[in-house]
Amino acid sequence: MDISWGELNNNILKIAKEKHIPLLGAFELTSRCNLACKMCYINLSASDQEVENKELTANQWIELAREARDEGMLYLTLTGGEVFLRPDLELICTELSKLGLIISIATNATLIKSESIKWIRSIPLLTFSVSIYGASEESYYHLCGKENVFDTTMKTLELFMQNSIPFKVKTVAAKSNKAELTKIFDLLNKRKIPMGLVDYLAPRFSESSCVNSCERMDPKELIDSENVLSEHIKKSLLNQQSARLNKEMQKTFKEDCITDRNSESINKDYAFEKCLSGYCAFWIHHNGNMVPCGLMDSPFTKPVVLGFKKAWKDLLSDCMNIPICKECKQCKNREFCLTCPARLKSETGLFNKPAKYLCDLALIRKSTAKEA
Amino acid sequence: MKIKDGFMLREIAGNWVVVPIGQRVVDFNGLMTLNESGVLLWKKLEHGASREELISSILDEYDVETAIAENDVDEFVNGLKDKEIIV
Repeated sequence: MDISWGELNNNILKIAKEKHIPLLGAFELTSRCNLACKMCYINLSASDQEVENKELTANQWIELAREARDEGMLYLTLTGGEVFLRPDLELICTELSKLGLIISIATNATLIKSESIKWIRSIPLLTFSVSIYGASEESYYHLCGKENVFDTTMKTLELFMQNSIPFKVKTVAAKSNKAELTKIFDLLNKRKIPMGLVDYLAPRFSESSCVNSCERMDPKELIDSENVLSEHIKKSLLNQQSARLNKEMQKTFKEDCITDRNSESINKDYAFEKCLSGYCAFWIHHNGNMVPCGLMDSPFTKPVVLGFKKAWKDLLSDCMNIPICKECKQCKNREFCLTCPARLKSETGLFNKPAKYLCDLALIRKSTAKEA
Repeated sequence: MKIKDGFMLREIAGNWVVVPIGQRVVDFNGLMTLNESGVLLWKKLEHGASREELISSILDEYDVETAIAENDVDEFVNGLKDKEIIV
């Protein structure tokens, strides 16, 4: 009768993908953030009143969740910006928890007060996905532009552990923290917390200049960093007593790196070949635009205006018209490549144009695999 | 016997899943999947039902011997009792 979330996923994901059931959703509750990370694309000022006034209201988000739930949504991620900037987050979570959803909150864990633990604990099946950016106050300040947030983040993780609040932790491979990736792992490993690694930074453009290119590692630099981290993890875990923990720690790291690449393909003539986006996942931006994935700005539909059901149907229909990158489809390095419509558009401005950055990454991954 | 408040039976992509909702009412904080007969019993228990009523509902719906229906009902109910999901 009891099954793990992973098992449930396996049972329903395949059907949801085949039948285009919107099983997984993400609500971008705000575009404001208390940090100013150099590689981030959605970190408008926390105190920007004009931006705050344009955010969807709690009632609008709750109604969208209700409509999406009626169409089959089970998993919902609340993300930002930093969602704990919203004073109505407790209200939103409390109301969402009545809908029969499994909710995950993405946060930088710097604004969670100990007083909030009571309501957090009262929400069934609530989990957290915490992003950490360094292993010291200095690295946080350099990358995130704020002082005294590293200590706060670590205290929040301790608070979660003391109160048995489920969470996972991930970090981003960026230029500023590449020397600290192994230290971040050690920091977490000491507390028996597995580390996830986001190994792809999409370029984001603002007024025709790239806003985060300064933090993105070039392909060689990225793969070298990954390899250093991977070796460090292997060595560290070999010294640990617990075989179960060892297995768990390695698994989490690898899963976060290869999730998209391992997904099953259903329709070879569809631009969304491997990913869940375009099949059974959606993302609603802070402005109310619904897109297949958070990396994308288009195609989009407006569920607040159209109603979720029609907006989802229209979005799937628009996805069918996304042109396929023929070169990518035929590429001999494809199994090593991160290519997808969202990344191609982000890299080149077009859905069907190969992206040099992704091509170079794939080539290096392939030769690394051959050497191994 | 009756299911406590705070649980929702949902059909997700062809699978029946019990999801805890609202304020957490018991320590149980996971998910349950139910098969067809489990769904039948759960729906009865949402409104309140005795052991005999549950057994009858299984016998009405399925071509099984009484002893098997009794065993299935007891197993199902005991599972819910262990999780403190029914009163």
